[in-house]
Amino acid sequence: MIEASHLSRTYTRGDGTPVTALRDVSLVIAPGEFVVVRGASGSGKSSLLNILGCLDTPTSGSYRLGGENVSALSDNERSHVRSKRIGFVFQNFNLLPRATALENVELPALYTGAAPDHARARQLLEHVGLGGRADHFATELSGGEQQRVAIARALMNDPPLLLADEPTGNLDSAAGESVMQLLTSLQREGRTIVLVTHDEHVASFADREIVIRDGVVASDTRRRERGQA
Amino acid sequence: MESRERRSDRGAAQLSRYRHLARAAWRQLWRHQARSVLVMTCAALGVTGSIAAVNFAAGGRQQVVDQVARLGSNVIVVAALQDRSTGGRARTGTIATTLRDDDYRAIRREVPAVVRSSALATASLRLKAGGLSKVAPVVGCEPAFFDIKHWTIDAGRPFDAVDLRRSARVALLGATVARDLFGDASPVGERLHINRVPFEVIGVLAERGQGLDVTNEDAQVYVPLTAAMRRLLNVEHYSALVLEVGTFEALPGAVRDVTDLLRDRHRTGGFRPDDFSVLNQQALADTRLAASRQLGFFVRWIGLSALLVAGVGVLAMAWITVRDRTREIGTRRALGATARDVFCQFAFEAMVLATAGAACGVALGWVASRIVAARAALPFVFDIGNAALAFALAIAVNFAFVSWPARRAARLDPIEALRHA
Ligand SMILES: Nc1ncnc2c1ncn2[C@@H]1O[C@H](COP(=O)(O)OP(=O)(O)O)[C@@H](O)[C@H]1O
Ligand SMILES: [Mg+2]
Repeated sequence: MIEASHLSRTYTRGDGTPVTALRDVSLVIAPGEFVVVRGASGSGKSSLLNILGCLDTPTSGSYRLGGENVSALSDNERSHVRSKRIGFVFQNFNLLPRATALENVELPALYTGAAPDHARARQLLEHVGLGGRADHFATELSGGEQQRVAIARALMNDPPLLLADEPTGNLDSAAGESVMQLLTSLQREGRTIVLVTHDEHVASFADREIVIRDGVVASDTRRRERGQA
Repeated sequence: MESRERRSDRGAAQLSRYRHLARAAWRQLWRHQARSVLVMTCAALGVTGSIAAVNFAAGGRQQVVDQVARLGSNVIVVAALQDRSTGGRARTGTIATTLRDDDYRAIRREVPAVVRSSALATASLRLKAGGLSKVAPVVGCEPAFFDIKHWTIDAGRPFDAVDLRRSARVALLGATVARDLFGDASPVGERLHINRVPFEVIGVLAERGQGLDVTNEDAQVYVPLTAAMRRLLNVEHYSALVLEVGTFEALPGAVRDVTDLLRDRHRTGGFRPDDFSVLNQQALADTRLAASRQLGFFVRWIGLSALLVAGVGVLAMAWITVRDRTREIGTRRALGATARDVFCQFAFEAMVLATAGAACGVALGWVASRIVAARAALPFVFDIGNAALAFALAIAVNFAFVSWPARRAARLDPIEALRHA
């Protein structure tokens, strides 16, 4: 699914000084894996996830997604890759506040050109346990509910790869627990999940844990065979 | 190799993509009502202002044109007056008694360009009807006078050659005089004393308002020329001659001929100042039209700047919208929106509002033009061409202005946008 080799990412600060967030990161993730990327704040987790999600391009190194070299694609082509093959879940949910849960879930479908499939969107809300909240505005939902709407939204275009950046970071432990359960169930459906966190408990849900320190992979351990929760 | 079918498939997908995007954007507009109303108001006021300004100038121009059309642009008026510009002494404005029937006949004989004419004998006299009394100008004229003036009778009949021959004591009333003396009742057939001479009112003239020469023709009474000269004024001279020339092109020549003829007959010109003046409507109208053209030019700039100022307002709102929705932009990009999708969304949202606003502005511009015309006592003019131009310009200006923040939104780095507070 994911083959990244020798990825580096250097940002330029406002004052012109370079900051290297990733150094020579190489990793391979097989389809259906549930991988957690763990590390302290500022260690480069989000930088890595943004590259894996085709939101950003590496300064050097190559990234192949599903066999295709996506680090060479144009901005437009990467948009299409994100639309069809990647689902994003953010720490702060990023739902459109003035849209209903259902409209939020349908949002990714807008960018495929197909007519929005309302039935599918409702079914996804059902699936994340929010069938009854379809017509509530995002602002009327609790944090845990918002994150589950965001997960349903990430699934709208049926992408094989889900990327989540600290999805439980803004949730209390109960809501966080239920979000993790949901993600685990999605893995069982066959999706590949890469999740970024600094929380060891959250990390315990995954099959495989990659620890990043100062932009370098410090360890890569397989906890259990795929999906053996 | 890409087959044509696949390409047309992709075209259809793009089309439906924009249809769905447009529908979603439309919903967002409803949910940001305050902002939407502000943008619309901004766009509307620009169009309203420019339409009202342009129509105000057009109204002023129309007034001059109306006044000219009323008398006809090919009419010469010979007035028995000292020419004001040569009256260096106190004689300015004194009525001369030298404009006489033989002059009139000589003109008709020797200036063939004149096709219709009427001599006038005018004085302010006391009118009495029923219990009411007032002083008003009484104009003695020939029947052709009303034809030259393109003036119609509202009620009753005009006077004719027979009335003229008999010096008949019949009178036509201007609309204002009729109202002042008879109120709402029809004056036709009623008796009217002019300087104690009894006249019969045979008709009322259509209302006209002020002429180019600032006389209010509605406030005058019209009687046969002969009746005025013999029965009221007891004079042998005219106060003016109204001459209609066949074509507009013949006007300057006719003015010259009439002036030369009268100078010759009156032995004026050279050292002796003229005892008559030759005016034509076109000369009067030209000065006023030149002034109104200048105003029209000025007003176009005002209109354009109103549109630009409104455009800046729309731009500012679009800018604020993009700033406030930066995180949303990042989210949409992460979910698969292309840079162009983002551009289209913001441009579409702003342009829907700006266009709706501009349409409201056209309607408001109509209302504003009416109010301005009423306030300024000008004819109401709503120039559709100008309104369409203002509308189109507003759309163009707003699009040019809105595309700037929209392009900024499209060019945002998705990661930066997502990190935005
Ligand atoms: N856009 C950016 N410009 C400059 N520096 C950045 C930018 N994004 C991240 N960094 C820096 O890169 C490093 C890694 O950041 P990040 O990937 O966000 O870490 P994490 O997600 O693990 O907290 C940090 O030192 C951060 O300050
Ligand atoms: Mg981070």
